[in-house]
Amino acid sequence: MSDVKGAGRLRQIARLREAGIAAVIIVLIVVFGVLNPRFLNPDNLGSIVLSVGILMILAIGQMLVIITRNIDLSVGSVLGLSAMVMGMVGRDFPQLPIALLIVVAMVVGGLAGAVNGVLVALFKIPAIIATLGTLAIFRGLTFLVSNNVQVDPEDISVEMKNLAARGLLGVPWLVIFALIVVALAWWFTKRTMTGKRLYAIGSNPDAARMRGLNVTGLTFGVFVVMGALAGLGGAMYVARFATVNPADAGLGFELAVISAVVIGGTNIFGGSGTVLGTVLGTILVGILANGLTVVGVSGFWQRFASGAIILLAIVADSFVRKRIETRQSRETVVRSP
Amino acid sequence: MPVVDCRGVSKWYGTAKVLDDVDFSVNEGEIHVLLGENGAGKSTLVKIVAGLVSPDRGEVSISGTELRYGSVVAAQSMGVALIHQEPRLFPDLTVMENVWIDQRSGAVGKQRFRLSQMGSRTKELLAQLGSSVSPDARVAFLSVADQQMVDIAAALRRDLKVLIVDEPTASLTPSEVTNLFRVMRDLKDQGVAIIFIGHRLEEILEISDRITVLRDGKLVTTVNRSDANEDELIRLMIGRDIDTGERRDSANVGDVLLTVANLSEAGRFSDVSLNVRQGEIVGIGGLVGAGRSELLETIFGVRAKSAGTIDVGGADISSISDAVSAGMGLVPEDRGRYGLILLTSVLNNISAPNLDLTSWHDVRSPRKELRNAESIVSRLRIKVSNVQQLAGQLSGGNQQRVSLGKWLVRDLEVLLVDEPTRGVDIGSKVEIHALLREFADSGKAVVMVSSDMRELLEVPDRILIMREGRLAGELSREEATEEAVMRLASGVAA
Repeated sequence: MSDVKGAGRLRQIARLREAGIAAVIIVLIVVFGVLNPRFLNPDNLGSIVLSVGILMILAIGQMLVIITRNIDLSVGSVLGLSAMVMGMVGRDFPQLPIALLIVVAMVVGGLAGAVNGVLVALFKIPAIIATLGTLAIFRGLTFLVSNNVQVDPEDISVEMKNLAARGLLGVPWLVIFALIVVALAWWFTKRTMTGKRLYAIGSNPDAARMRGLNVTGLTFGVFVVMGALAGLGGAMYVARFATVNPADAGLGFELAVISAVVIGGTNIFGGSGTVLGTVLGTILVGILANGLTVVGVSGFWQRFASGAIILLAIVADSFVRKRIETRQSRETVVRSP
Repeated sequence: MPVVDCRGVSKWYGTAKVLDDVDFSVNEGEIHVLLGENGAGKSTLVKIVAGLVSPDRGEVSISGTELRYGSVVAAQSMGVALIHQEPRLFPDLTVMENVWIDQRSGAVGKQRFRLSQMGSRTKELLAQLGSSVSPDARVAFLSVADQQMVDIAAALRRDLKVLIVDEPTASLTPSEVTNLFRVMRDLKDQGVAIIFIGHRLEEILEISDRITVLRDGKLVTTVNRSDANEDELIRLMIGRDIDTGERRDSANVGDVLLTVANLSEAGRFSDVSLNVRQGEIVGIGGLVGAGRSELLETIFGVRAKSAGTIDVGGADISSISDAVSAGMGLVPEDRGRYGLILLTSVLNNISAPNLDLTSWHDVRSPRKELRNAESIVSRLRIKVSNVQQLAGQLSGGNQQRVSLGKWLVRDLEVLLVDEPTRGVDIGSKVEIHALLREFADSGKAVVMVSSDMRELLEVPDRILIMREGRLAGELSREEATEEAVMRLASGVAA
């Protein structure tokens, strides 16, 4: 029957897209490597891996949010706020273990996510508006709690800094955390009912309500998880940069995160998206940002390029979807009796 | 004891009583058909049984337990499932995921998909329904018939007691209908109580055990299939009080204004040809879903035609701007969404489609707009405090007059109206009918889609009947009776 074919077709398209992103990644590596061999030296590759790691933690959360037909624009501010709070706690209580500090960052992020969740799930404010507001609010809070004073490198413990430098078998803890997040997300989206329900909510919200799914609770939950992951990202930010400035920790991060998710094939209107795609999208965005700098493209053009790429990804995506839909409607034209 | 038992159920929407003290019951292992014209209250009644709508009066119990109203989850847990004409599924998920998505899990942490079990159970459920759809197929790619089977499979998974199918056959092929009926009989043999809403009388007589006829929200009768025949059912549906009403004197018919030839829109309607002359009102009747509104919208250029031609006074129409510049206007069925901008003033609503007449290039003329709006308001006797009042604050009848009146600013040749008096008070109805006649008498043409039988018989000069996307026949004013219309609309031979 044609149905079985239908199942394969969509998966084929997803695979095709993932292979496409992988191909683009390889092309970028080759091009940047040729233009400036320094791009390929181990220090630079290590730096790419660290920035991709932080981006990945947030992109996974954002993917879950977008799957439910929502969006979180406040991720950069949440990262900044939790990095700031954690940095200050670490400075004022140097005896605290770093595991506890990471928990502090995740709790701060989770609370910020809960605020977003209440606004969106409970008060039914469109996510794009609610999180645009909290983007400014959380950035403002970062200035307030820090009194606009940055946390200096000497106030951040060596153990904390080592998270981005040492780890198991030479893999920094930062990267291990990112891989754990990816593995959990993969398991959650593929193997749990709750994961599937997130897709259901984004795919057809009315049907989700009519089937008795807890749309409010799940939407709230997904924002809390997003916040906690932004908090974890904040902790990793502190480890990597060894300083927190209220004016620029996580500033503009939402663009990179959302680009990564959308380039990875998550439907901006909800209902579909894969962890593998998001991982590839994140790597692409990370390589592009680093590579453009290394080959000497100015910061202005880098911004231009990241904006252009997100638009390109969305246009390509909607083009492919339209093609599928028209083909589909041609097949299911009411067969007149 | 009946599985579904409705006692004295009444429901108002605003001031309109859609259900009036209806008693209705369905037994175990019975297929019970709800029959009635458009707007008789069938869908409202089944939505009440499914917990989607709460009645204003009366009680509903399922297997002897009172149904808490307005709770889909409660109705579901009592084993009630409603299958819509357009299945409510999750297109991005697989068949298996759609079937199991609302499965309550046991202990926290034990909610992992038992993939193999769910897959084989889904396959069993589908096999039981005679469907060979793969559990791993993506629902977006399934036909409507296959989607209905997935919807039913999801209902079967939860211990199904009551299955409601609301006009399921409209978009199915004959063999798909046959399969659906086989499934319904199987479920019936397993003791499921089935409520079926349908329009095609042959189908209904084939599948039903009992038939309940509703008319204007009231229960007319409940009969056993063995006691029913098509003619009797049509009479029961339309009622005995056939009202001939006031009819217009024969029109002074002139030249052809609108010619539609072999018009089709893939999947909606096909091969429709008609022409409308000066001074003529042509009615279009048929059941909901017959393609009438789509036809009007295509003539007006809202929807893209897939074949055929539309000609107004020599101009070929393929877009809304073609239609408007050729002198056509469309008053859509849903005035709140498409006919008016509710959150802006009556003045703006009347001005909006006529800015080309009142503006100098792009600069609006408030003076001309005001003059036009005031003349329309007084001509159509629209009750407003002033033209600045928001359209959304007006009554249904006055809203409809604004929706109609905005076109009368222009020198129209052809007016297309879709359900022109739906949800308006009787006074407005009479005036709108008079307005349409007056418009036609001034040498213009009107095409009117209506599901209101009395309106369809009284207002037009002739009636075209659509069924399943095609013209099923034409009735002159002399031939037009409720019975003749219903026969053509439901496909029962005379």
